[in-house]
Amino acid sequence: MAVKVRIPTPLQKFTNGKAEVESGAKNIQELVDALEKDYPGMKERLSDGGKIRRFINIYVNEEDIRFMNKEETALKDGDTVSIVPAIAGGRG
Amino acid sequence: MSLIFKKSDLQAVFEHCDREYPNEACGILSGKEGRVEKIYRMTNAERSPSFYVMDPQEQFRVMKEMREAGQELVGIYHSHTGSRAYPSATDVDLAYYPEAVYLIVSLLDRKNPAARGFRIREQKISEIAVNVYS
Repeated sequence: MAVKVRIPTPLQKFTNGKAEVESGAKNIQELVDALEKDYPGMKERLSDGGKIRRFINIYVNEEDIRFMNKEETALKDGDTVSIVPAIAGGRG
Repeated sequence: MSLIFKKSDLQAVFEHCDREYPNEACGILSGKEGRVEKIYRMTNAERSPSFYVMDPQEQFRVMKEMREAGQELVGIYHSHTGSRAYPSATDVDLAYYPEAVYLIVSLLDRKNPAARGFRIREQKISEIAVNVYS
């Protein structure tokens, strides 16, 4: 039972440079906790108070979890989870 | 290290920025080793004169297309419609792509857009030369 997780460049400093890791998590919430356990520092980068941060987009295969069950979105064997930071900025 | 642009591609970026004025425009520059080979004009989901967020679905699709084509994220461009071509505090806070050159196009003088390139890593800004060829 494993899902593949794509790690974006700025977070690879937590995963010892790995662009892809595996997890047995059953949903996104569990995945965030599992990543934190293996790679401390990840949880704070990905979430705030249990919610995925506004500028972090997470996809299960091709679907944005915002349009699924958000943090409760279920994961199954063979899924690919992509963590994709938003491209954002501006004059402010 | 510099960002290398075909003149017509840079012109296309300026035209995109002008078209979105007064809102900020944004886009992705794909290519290899600092050389821009393709421009993706992206939707600013915020439609704002002071902020941009690329439409997440579009961003995901484009990044996948680039990965499959073996292209790199050479740069990310956006316009400042009322300020100079230098990263703002917001730009620095939200700079999640250390590998990319952040190209900022200032439309302070709308008829003469100015573009400058920067790397933003760990909250630190360093300027990258933008070289244009015809």
